[in-house]
Amino acid sequence: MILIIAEPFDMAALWLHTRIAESGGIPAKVVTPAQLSYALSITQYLGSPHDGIAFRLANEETIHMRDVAAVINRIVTVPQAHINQAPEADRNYASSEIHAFMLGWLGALPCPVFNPPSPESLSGPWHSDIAALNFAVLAGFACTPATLGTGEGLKPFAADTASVDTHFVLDGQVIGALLDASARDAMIQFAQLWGARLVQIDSCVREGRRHFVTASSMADYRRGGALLVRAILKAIQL
Amino acid sequence: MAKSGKSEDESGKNGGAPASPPELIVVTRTESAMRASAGRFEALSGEPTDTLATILADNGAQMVPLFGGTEERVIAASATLDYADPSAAVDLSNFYKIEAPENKLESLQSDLFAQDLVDGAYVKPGAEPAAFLNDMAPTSDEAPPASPDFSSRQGYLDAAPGGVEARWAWTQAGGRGAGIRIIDIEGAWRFTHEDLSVNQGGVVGGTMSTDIGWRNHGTAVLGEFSGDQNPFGIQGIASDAVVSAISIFGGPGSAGAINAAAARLSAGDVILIELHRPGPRFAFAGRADQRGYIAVEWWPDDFAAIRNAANRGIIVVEAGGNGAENLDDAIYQTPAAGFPATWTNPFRRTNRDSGAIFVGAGAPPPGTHGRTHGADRSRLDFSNWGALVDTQGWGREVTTAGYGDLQGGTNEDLWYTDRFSGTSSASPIIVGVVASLQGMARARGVPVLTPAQIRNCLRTTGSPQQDEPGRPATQRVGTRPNLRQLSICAFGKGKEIHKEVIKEGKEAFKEIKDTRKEFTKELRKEVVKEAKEFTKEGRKEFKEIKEVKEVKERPDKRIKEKDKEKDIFEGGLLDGIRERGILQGGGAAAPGSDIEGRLASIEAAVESLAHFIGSELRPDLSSSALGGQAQDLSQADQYSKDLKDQKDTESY
Repeated sequence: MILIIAEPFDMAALWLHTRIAESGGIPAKVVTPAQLSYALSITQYLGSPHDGIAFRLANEETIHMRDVAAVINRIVTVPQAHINQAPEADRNYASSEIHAFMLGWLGALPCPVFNPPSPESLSGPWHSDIAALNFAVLAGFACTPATLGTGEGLKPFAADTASVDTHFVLDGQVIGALLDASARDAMIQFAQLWGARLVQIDSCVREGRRHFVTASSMADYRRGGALLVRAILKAIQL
Repeated sequence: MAKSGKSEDESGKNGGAPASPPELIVVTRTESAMRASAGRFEALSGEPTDTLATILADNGAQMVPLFGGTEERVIAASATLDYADPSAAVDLSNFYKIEAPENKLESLQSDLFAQDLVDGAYVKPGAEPAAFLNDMAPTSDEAPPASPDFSSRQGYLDAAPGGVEARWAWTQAGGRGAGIRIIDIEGAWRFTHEDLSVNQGGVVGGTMSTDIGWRNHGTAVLGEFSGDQNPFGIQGIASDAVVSAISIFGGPGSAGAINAAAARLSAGDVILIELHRPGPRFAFAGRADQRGYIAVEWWPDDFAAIRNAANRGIIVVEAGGNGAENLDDAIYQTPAAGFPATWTNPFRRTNRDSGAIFVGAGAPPPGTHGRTHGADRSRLDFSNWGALVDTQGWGREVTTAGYGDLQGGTNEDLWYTDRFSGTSSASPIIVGVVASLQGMARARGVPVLTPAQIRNCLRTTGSPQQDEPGRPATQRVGTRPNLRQLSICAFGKGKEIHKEVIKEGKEAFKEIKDTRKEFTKELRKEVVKEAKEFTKEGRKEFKEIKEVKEVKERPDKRIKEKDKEKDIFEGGLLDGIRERGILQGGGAAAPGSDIEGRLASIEAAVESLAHFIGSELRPDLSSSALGGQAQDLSQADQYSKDLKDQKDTESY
């Protein structure tokens, strides 16, 4: 089973779920962070590997991690609604505990995880605009000069949405429309610097050169279409 | 795996047409980004291609993109599409055709399939027209100086349930398919036929077969929906639509032809696939009786081409095949040798859906042309059936152009037939119906219908399939279309319904008027009577008051104040609410009604306050493809939290 952890409003994740189901191969299940956080019980047998964990959800359904072949991780934050009922002094502690648990559990899963959590975000590496721009320059993209002052943040590169191309780098492979060798190398290099297994990179061609626009660990799978789904399934089989 | 279709000799026995050559198709892995065009033979992923190149060279074979000149062109063509449903997008750039001598296809297939770069390699048996027993020969009598009017023999044009209501559709603006383009995919046509002289675009792809079987077949197909509107010969259902044709011979093959047609058409136009080929039932072997023949979408490249066309909003009408097969049978779940690993059976739409309109063959009304083929609309014995079959057309006794058994002679341009048969004759009827409906949409200035809308309307309207001994209606070939019902399904209730509503309204108004008259009469009587009594009582009271004036002055005042308070609680406040317009709908109690009634009205007012955004103003979130799933997950979230809250509260 492929476990997709996503919020109910995460349409990209729900779309991916539908596509995986349609592929007729491995089954997929969407579970929300709230369902996991508010599980009736989370059991781990001492001495067992991390796939020995089982979540018993509110609807009495049990998810054994040994049945999970891969995880599509889209947790942005742990749910706070329940924790807010605790005394004020305990809230931060409770929130940190559940965050730490999720971080530890997802980070140690033996199956493929897209993307594994990182210290800055449960859903995978997150970098500021200026850091992303720095990576893009290092990777070999053309970049519009940016100024960063004390008064205001970095102004994002303004690109005409219609001219933006979306590519995905998954385990070092570029998925998307055909690129020349230098642009492809830049994408791969950028993904390495970004540090996630799956990165979405938006770029555009201006004056004959490929410019970096933005990047994210939270891929919009719909932009990648069937190619991306197939690549993900392939990566999971490996 | 596959064998060619029947040979020229075999085809000659039943008057059919020779099959197209078998095709070897290769599907490369997406991640390899193979490039085998414009002088290149490389994988952009960097994977070695030497072995693949050697295998091809050793067999004198060439590998060329199936759906375009170069992979980049194929990718660019799909990139321009604006997918309403991104999940339906298909990648056509990985499909290749292997050009090699026919006797080397089998060995090449197994060698190529073993390569890492290759995801699938399979041989498709030759395609044949979905014709069955179309062995009609032209009569020896020369045609008269002017062909007679045969349109009265075209029962499929007539009113339902016998026909599809085409004659009614012709009275509607656009009902002859104006503004719609149709491309027929098969082998050959007689575009010089006397009844195919208007709105004909000719052959726009491939090379026509010289075989007369293919030519008669194509001509008969065109006649059904494109026959000229004139006083002789036959009449097409959608003669205002512009018709072209693409041949599978001369290079494109079936999938290439479908894709070429899609590239020429726009949303709302129609592609007709008049082909089927031997399926797995008899090990993909060609047979003279066409048993086991199935629709082309079972093969991955044909499926991809059809899905791509449907994604563009083009209506693809596909002959269901004459193999007498149950397409729900488990045999179709097993992929053929060399199919890509991701292939699933498209005959089960829960697996994946090509988006095509799938057509079966039904019997015409008994006695048509003096012959009976079973109960009207029952499945014909040769027709494939199954859950995916959307609709049926006449599979026998179709009067149209070609063949020459109705009017023959030496001039092929004057030939007509009374007996065109098969899912071949059924599918053009559906094409005519679809083009008529789309023409109506254009004439009304509303958007043309999408493939999904057309399919939904075809499946939910029409004259139902009937039982026949040995061929029960559970062997689904769908309903026979009814254009009147289809237009209501597509555009809502029209003029006729409107008239009925007005008539009903007038009657209701008259009834109300009469009732009011009687009520007013009665009321007037009552009021006059009460007024008289009141005057009588008033005079009596006045007399009493006068007598005890001193004693009754103060209590009288108190009683009046008490009544005022009572009014505030029981009526005055409610009136105030009503005045402010908060009480809506049926919440207002009639003055003078009892306390319970007033309480009920207040409750209704409170209820309406809780839902101050009326249901008509709320957005319909259920229409999203993923809306239902999102809602379920949200509910699961809420339930989990509530349970956790409850559990913690209990432990405190």
